[in-house]
Amino acid sequence: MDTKLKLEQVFREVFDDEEIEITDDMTADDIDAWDSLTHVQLVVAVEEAFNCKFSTVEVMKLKNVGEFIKLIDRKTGNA
Amino acid sequence: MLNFSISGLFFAVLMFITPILMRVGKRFRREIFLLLNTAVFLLCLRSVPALVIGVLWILVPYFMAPVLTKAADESAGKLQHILRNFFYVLMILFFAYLMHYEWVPFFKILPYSNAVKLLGLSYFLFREIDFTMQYGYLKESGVRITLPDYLNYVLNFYTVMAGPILRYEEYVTDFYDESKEELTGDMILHDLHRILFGYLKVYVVSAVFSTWAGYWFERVSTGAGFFSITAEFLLFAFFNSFFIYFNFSGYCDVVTGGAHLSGMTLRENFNQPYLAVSLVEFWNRHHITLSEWIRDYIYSPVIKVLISGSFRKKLFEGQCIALFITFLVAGIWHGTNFNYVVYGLLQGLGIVISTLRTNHMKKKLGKKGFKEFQSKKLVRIAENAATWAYISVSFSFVGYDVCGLILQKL
Repeated sequence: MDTKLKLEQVFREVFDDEEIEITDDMTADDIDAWDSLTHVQLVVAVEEAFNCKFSTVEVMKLKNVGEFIKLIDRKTGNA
Repeated sequence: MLNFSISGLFFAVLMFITPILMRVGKRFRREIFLLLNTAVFLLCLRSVPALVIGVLWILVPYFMAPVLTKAADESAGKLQHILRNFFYVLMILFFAYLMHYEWVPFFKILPYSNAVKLLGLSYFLFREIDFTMQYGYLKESGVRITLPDYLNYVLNFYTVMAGPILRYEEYVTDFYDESKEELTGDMILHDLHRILFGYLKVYVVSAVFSTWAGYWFERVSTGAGFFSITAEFLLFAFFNSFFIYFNFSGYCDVVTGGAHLSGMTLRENFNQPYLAVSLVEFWNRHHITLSEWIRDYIYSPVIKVLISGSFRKKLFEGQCIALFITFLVAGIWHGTNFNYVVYGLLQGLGIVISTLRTNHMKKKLGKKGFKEFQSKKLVRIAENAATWAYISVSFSFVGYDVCGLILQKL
């Protein structure tokens, strides 16, 4: 499955909202429930879904969904 | 040994000559800044052992950063991961030893002298952790990394006393930012105004509040009767919180204005904290750079470990534990005696209670209903007053021996 589609599934599960549609320039400001807890929740869920690990700094530096997709692709060797 | 503070003559001279020197010798501004920073560092040393410790404390992280980054890589072995964690544990233990926490009995056994204390030890640690943790990212992103830049970042005399805590990337990007506007007469006037305003806040406004706080603290110490003591204590706590705000934000105004005259932008550290309507919001408005640092380097890693492990199905509990640990550690960091442990406990407890309440209210009223409830004027006033009162009472343990006072009263 395409990284973006799979990531969208993770977003829907974490935020418990089936209607979320992710875009590359989407940021924490665009989703009400996206705070420092859900951010880490997202990271943990993505680590499980894509079977990879992120460092503290990688997590910290994520600025939008597009960067997240790039990071996942790099970690999983899709890039 | 030089007593380096914003009230000292040396600091005043530096504030005056640094912008001029860095402007006149623009090509060598990095070297000029390094010379001044090193001079402050050396002049503030109390002994030769302090020099040795200081040099190691600053240089070891720089040279270890590439090794630590390699050890954090997924391709590295388990032993390397363990050694990396061991390095950070050692660093924190050594920091605790140098701080000489009074309530840790173990430190009493070890030989220690005040002469090894370093100016800005805590702030060195914050910056060193940021540099070593981010090293891999900095390299990858092509951020300039050189020893002189690192030394200027760690030793920066404007921020060495009490922040704001810059990140390496932020500091270097700003220092070499060529798109920055040249200083105009208006800007210089604005900076000078900010410096003057900062000094007034520290030496007039906060000094008055400090005197009043001291007066009411004395009244509590000598007074009797539960109700009068409680009222006097609350007065003391409020005046003390005003003192802390004006003293610290005034200091930040002085160093931010001074650094700006020298062509450097420091991040704002305060945003009207006493308008906050919750403890979480308060910490997003007070000593902002420290709050962000602890969020990135304590809260996020702790909560990640918790919710990927035993708290996988208990996210809320995991969040509460992570918040409590974060605020307890941050509180303990603030000072070396037991009052700061109580301060940390109170902050941790307050944040957890506030999170529990928000969670409960959200369940009861729904997310939308809770938002509407919070936007009511009376609710905002009540929440603001409660936040302020809680912060003031917990801040009373900062700078005053409230634990001693309680024991005396009991």
